[in-house]
Amino acid sequence: MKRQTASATLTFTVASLLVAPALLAAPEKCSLQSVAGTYAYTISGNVLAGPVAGPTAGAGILTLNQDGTMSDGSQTRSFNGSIADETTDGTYSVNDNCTGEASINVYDSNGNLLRTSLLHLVWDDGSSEVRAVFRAPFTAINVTGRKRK
Amino acid sequence: MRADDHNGCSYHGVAGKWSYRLSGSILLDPNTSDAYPNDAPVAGVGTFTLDKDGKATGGGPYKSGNTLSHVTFSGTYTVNADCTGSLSLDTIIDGQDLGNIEFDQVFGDSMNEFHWIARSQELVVNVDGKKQFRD
Repeated sequence: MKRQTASATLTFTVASLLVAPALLAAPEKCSLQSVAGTYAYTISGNVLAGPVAGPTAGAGILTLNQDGTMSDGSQTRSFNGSIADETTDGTYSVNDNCTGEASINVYDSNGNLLRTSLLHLVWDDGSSEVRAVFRAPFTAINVTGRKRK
Repeated sequence: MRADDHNGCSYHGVAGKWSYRLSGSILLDPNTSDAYPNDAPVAGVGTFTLDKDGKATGGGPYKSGNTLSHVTFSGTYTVNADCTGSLSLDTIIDGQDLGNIEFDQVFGDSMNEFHWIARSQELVVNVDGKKQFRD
């Protein structure tokens, strides 16, 4: 009986050792459900040409919903020293490999649409952190954000 | 920034010791500077403390263009329930008092991470970092 118990324990241990690395190596997949949440983020970079050319900075929050929409965004941004408080919403997509795209509408404090920004996205840290780059020409701007909770 | 007041950031929650990284640019007068196009990059790291009463103090090394300095700052901060807020920091660089610099801030990662932006026409600067220790 003891031999059977020891044998079963050994079998279980070996099986665990074989399975555990496979679990650890399992590729992480992202989905609308996994990345959904409210993010706090930083914007930094440069606009390279045009009327607001110069260094750019910002900070804000934005909620990514499970239906692919974005809502309840607010941010403070500086274009070459010109400060503004803005609100944001939009849509986004996410692929299994944790890359994605976003189309973000930016409004002034009166609700007037100022611009629509297109971004490439990539998530890491179990869908908790996102990094993005603006796609518009003559921009070199990135965003780093993390879920608020 | 807007405050929605439903997601639970608080003075008690954000209080503690933090590390930071600063990056961005100082805008210079193109009539008096040789900088191209009109800005000088700035960078820095350091630590600061947020207490539960809304006070902030800290500092660290600071590089502006080719000059390495030491910055200290002290002042007050606010935090809203939706994890947005602001700071007003009296800032001293190598003994020279620059006066108050205003920032907007947001907290993420369950109040373990922050992002600031300077509300200044001369400073286009981000500061971000993580909590080292709770208060």
